[in-house]
Amino acid sequence: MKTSNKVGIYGYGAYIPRYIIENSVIAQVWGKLSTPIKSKTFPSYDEDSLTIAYEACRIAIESSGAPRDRIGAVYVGSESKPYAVKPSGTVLVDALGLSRNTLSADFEFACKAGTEAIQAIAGLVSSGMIDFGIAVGTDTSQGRPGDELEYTAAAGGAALIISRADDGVLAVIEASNSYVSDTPDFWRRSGEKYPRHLFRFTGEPAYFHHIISSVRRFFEEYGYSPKDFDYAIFHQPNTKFPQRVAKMLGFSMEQIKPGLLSPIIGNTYSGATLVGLAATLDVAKEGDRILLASFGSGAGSDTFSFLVTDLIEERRAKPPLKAFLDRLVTKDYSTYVRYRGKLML
Amino acid sequence: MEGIVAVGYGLVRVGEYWAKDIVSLAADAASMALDMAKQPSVDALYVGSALSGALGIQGNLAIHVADELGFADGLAVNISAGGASSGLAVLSGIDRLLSGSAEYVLVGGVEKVSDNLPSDVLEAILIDIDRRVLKYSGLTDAGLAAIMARLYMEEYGVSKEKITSLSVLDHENGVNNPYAMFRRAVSLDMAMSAPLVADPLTIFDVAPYGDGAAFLVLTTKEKALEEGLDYMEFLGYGVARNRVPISHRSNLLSFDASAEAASVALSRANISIDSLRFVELFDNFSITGVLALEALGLSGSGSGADDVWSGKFNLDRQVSVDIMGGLKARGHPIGATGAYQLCEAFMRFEEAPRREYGLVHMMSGFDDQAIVFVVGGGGSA
Amino acid sequence: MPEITEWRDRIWRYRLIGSRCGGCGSTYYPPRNSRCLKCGGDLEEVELPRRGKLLSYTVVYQAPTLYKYSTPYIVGYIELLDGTRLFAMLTDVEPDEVRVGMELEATLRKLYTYGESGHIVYGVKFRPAVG
Ligand SMILES: [Zn+2]
Repeated sequence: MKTSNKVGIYGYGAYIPRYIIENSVIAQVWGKLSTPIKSKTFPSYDEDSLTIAYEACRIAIESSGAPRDRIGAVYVGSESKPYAVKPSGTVLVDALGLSRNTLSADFEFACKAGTEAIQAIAGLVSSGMIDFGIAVGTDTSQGRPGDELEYTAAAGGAALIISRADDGVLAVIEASNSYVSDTPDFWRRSGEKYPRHLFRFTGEPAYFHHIISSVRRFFEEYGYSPKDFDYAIFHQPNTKFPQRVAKMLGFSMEQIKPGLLSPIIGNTYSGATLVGLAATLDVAKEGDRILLASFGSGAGSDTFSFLVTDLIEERRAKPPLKAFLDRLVTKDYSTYVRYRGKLML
Repeated sequence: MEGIVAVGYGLVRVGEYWAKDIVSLAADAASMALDMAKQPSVDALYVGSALSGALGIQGNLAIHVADELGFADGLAVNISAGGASSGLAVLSGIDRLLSGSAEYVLVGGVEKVSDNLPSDVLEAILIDIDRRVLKYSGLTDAGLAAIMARLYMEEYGVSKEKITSLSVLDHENGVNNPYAMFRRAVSLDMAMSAPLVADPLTIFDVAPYGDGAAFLVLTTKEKALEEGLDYMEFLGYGVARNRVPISHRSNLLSFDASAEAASVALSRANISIDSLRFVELFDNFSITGVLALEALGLSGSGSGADDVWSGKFNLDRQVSVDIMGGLKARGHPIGATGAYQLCEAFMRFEEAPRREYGLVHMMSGFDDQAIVFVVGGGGSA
Repeated sequence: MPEITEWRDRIWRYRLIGSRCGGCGSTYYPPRNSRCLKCGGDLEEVELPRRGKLLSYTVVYQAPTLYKYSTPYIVGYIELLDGTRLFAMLTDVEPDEVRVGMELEATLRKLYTYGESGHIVYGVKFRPAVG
């Protein structure tokens, strides 16, 4: 997919909570011998996907100087909305001091809700319906205690401000692609606290099939190949999957390195690829090309190509993601259980 | 002031009254005051209560108390003004007498906190003080006092021990008060090492909330002499307010309203601060007692805690503070506390030489509204 | 319905909106509707700076019902860069990490909720400055 008018990223911001729990600590509680990652973030007792979105948006707006009164859409992608019914975007509009004459909705597509929001906003901006729009991917995902997901389900989020290229963007969105199919690898029924999943079925027929189909089709359509990209970010539910999918598609470990955060922060679900993109933009230079491929269970994958411009230096996120990585502190299982609301009160 | 006196007082020991409701608790204390005043015909009733409405116990309390006491007619006015509730009830009664609209008034306060969860009481109190500031910041009243204590310690280089020594003094003096919630002395060590309520304040820096009721019968001095009643005379009073929200104050440690109220009260009474024999502080926290001492002019800024620590206000000294145990030992039935302080002053005049003067300080919130009475003993006997 | 009262306060609670005096420049938070306390001048709405330093603090152990499951939590007395003073909860900091004078920045957090199925009240909290 290509927009009829050139659009791109005007500003970006990412946020992760301060607290992490090590996989070895969770494994000790449940008597497991091997673990998928080293550690994962979890939100403080007073954080949720909305406050994480707020932080990411605020950093994006303040670092880029995006005009608050020209932002015409706030789309929040999340699978852990604070409310089942009541939008997060309206709180963000008032908390960030944005114009109330704006579109706002929550998007849900498991872990790819945030990239879906980017697609929608890119279209709105390109068509001229709005000047600026914010797409957010944010989650405080939950894994049932003892379940495989408990080792990786983490918290974090990032926001992209999208505008027309002629308003001055730090990266142009060159093209995108989306691929979906009915695949029941992971789900959460309404009213349920924890999601269910089909174990190894989440791999081959779900994650790998959708990302590979989406990226290959994208390459065919627009004539790209892995060597055209300086960096690549793949959805990262653990350490292994993004590395393997990169290899299968012909990307090197060097290309995915800056955006591969899951070993330390875990799977931030809707936040995952956007946080990875933010970390990559934190180090990217003018002329760099970045590939991003998200994955959402259920299932689908969005692929994007971004071309970094000379505005990157002045628009970089302040603080960068590294500032949040530097302040991480390790907590024990009991603090994690308490802050995550896993105790029945 | 034109000869207004108290001729009766009544109070119940502060504590937990599981079997009593708020109206009968008030009636118990009021009946005792009326008995002492030889059952006069009361023209107006003013009842202070900070939380009876907020906690959903009994709204429009005064008419129920009046009915319980068998008052057929006359005013029955409810006053809810936090810790200043019963002080304002007393003031209203005095004004009623001064206006000539009444011959006898019954004034006081009652509070019932044991019927509600302690955390619900805390919530009601913080909303009572300032919903916008306290509720959104999670500040409790003790939390705000703790912030003041830390500021005080930083600003003046004073140790926490010195602030807490006021609580130790309260407990020492409370031993002699039959109506005190706690009648035992505590050591400074014990007070310092007790569980924290809001760091750095422990449970011994925080006056305990309790159920209580205290009432006074007021009339003119002329009437008291005519009836041959012993009395406590109101020689002067002052009322002042500080800025709210408290975050708008330029100096948290300056209790300007208490200072103003004391200065007005003393000048109305035409008494200098040096001629006072005792001072009752509204020390709902050790630190607020210290700040009140400084505001009233008994200690210089930053030296209140030092003075208490050095024993300057002990019972055997020229000016004694919290002679009946203060809020810490007697207990703090919020909207009734001011009436307790006045009852205790009256008790003092019954026992001690009558040519003495005392100053009673009360306030809502943190100096939000301060009332100071200057009182003296007297009687026909 | 306290949710309605709190809805009315949401803008200043979310965004550090205070009042500034046109006459003497004094600022106030929460905003005042009346006149300047220092000079009687007219007040206007102003978005206050998000950074400041800690003047004093407490760690609350006995909490009101709405904060019952947040204990122990820290409340700070904070001076913003423009001199405005306010009270706010601190977050992302442990009691043994707090120091008078530390640099803080505003963030948005959940203050409390009316039970599991009830309304969530968001507002400004302060955390140690990041970056
Ligand atoms: Zn002014």
